[in-house]
Amino acid sequence: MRKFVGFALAVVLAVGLAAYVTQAQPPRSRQDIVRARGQLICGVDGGTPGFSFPDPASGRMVGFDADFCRAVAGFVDVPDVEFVRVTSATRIPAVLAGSIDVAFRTATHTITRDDQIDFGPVTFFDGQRLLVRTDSRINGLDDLNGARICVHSGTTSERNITDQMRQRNFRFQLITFATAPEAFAALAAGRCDVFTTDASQLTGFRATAPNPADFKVVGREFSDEPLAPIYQENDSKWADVVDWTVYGLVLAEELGITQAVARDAARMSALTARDPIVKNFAELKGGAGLRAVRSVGNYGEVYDRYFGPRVRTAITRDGSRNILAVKGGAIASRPFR
Amino acid sequence: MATRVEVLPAPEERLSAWQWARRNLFDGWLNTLLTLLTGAALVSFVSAILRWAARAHWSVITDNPRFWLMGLMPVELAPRAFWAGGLVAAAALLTLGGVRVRVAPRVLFGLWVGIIIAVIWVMSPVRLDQIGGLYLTLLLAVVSISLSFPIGILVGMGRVSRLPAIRGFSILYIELIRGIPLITMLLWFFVFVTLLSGDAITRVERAMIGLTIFTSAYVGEIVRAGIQSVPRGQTEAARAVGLSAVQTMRFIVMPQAMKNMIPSLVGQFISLFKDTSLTVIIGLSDLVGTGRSLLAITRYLQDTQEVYVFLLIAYFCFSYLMSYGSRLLEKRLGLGER
Repeated sequence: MRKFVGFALAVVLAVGLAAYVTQAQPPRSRQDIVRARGQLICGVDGGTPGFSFPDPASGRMVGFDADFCRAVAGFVDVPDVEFVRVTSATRIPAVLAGSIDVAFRTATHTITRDDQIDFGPVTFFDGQRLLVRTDSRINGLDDLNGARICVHSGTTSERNITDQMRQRNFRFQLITFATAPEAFAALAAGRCDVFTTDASQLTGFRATAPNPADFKVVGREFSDEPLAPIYQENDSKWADVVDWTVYGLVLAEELGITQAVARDAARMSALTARDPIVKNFAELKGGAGLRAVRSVGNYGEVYDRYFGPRVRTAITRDGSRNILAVKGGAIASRPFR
Repeated sequence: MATRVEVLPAPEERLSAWQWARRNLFDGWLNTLLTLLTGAALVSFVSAILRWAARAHWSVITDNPRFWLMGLMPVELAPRAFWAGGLVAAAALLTLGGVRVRVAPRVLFGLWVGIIIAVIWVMSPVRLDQIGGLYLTLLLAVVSISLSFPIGILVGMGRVSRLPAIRGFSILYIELIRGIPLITMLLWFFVFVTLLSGDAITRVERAMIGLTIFTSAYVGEIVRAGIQSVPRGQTEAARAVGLSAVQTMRFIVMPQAMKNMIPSLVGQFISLFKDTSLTVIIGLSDLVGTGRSLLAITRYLQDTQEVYVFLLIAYFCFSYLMSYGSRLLEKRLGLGER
């Protein structure tokens, strides 16, 4: 009995001590952790055309998402970014556990996900549409009765299209594939009548087909996929860093501050002398916004680098929600003042 | 014709290719038809593959040897990885040659210990999470195989133990793990460990542990079957001459059981080697993960077929090498000749 009591006492003490130690630590912001580390650890997919992929020459991670990681590193003023590949299954646990500081990984901002993690400003508005062969008579969801539909299995795209078909009481055959490229190959081979996923991916697949004119993207967007960065909850200092990085790149595009301008002290001072907003942008928060632009360029430059008209993964920006709010789109900044 | 009777043993028939073909492929109209059909199918299949291979874009394979070997490892660390890979390859060649000229096993063992120490020293600035490509695939396979083998033996022996606690635990472990698909196991383990420990255990280590836990259960069952394949009389005789239970296991049962286990063990390890590709689901850049990220590079976007055909060939080569090695081992141990 005495042995048992001693043992129980030891356990209680140990648990209490552990609780005290974990309690006693003041909550540290990600911002301090990242600065102390001298490196940003950023989660990306690493295998999504346009968004994140390795650069064959240098072996570095590049892409729309990867550039936003570099911009955040510029904003907090750390020289280095380490890219960690996360899948759609592992990104949220990795953020929760703090093994990555932030993830730019084509994550759709939804209310249920927001229970676990926090989202930054939307960097890319996506939506699900249909890809068909040019000779197809399908022009939208209403033409899909009896169709064979290729999808990437386990994605929201699969659920969305199933819901849409059920609502219409359509007969349909769902053919699922483990990866999106396989589903596209099946469409090209005629195994299905339509391939559906987010428009950004469809445009990418179409652009890279041997003959892009063989395919067309049809129908209206039937899902809303605002893609945003994700980070831990209840860390508003760090939230400010990520959010204002995105706002900074957008504002830089509005103000016409390109990477070349940001890196050129003479042109910057000419601009700041003329425009008080530029002056604020260059000076507030120790010039953090300007550092972000210096590292990757403004929002428009990042967009054009990976989705611009001259790139094979081109996604038309005009007329989409991805143009600046001042031009009628949905990509908006907040005032730097 | 009568002379045939006198020829003993069976006559050595020297058939010309034409005679052989007539006897085996064209005897009777049905066989002739089948031969022609199969031949036509084979020719069209092979020529289709060759035609595809001729116009395929192999540059995604040939231009990126570094990616395929070590994934997204930082370029400045690549020379170290090349050296380490070279050392291991050299050691493997030396071992093959050494086995042929029958060098003492102790020498080979010493060689490998030396090589492993050298490799660890060369690779010391490289973090485990930075390794990718073929290196990661091989590393995952080698580490998980060498860990799951001893654990599997313990669990397998526990499964036939007479102590109820040990037996119960072993049965629980084996049945539990065998009831879970590997992919579920990897995901669950990844998420669970991440939430518990944060970054104390790297992702590669998590994959290694997950694969080891999984394979150990299967190895345990193979070990149990191996032990039970040794006739009871062996154990009884050993105990009768005064060997202890441990000695009986060590000197009488295990050596015989081991021989019986080799084919199934190699099968299990080949399957483990291929299963390492499932770690893509937790974001590792093994061979398959590297292929995926290469496919996202703009100029390789259409090369899905090339990449997957290459992966198929790569996995086949290594799996075949393993089964070839096991056949050599079986021959050396005189299996199937008793």
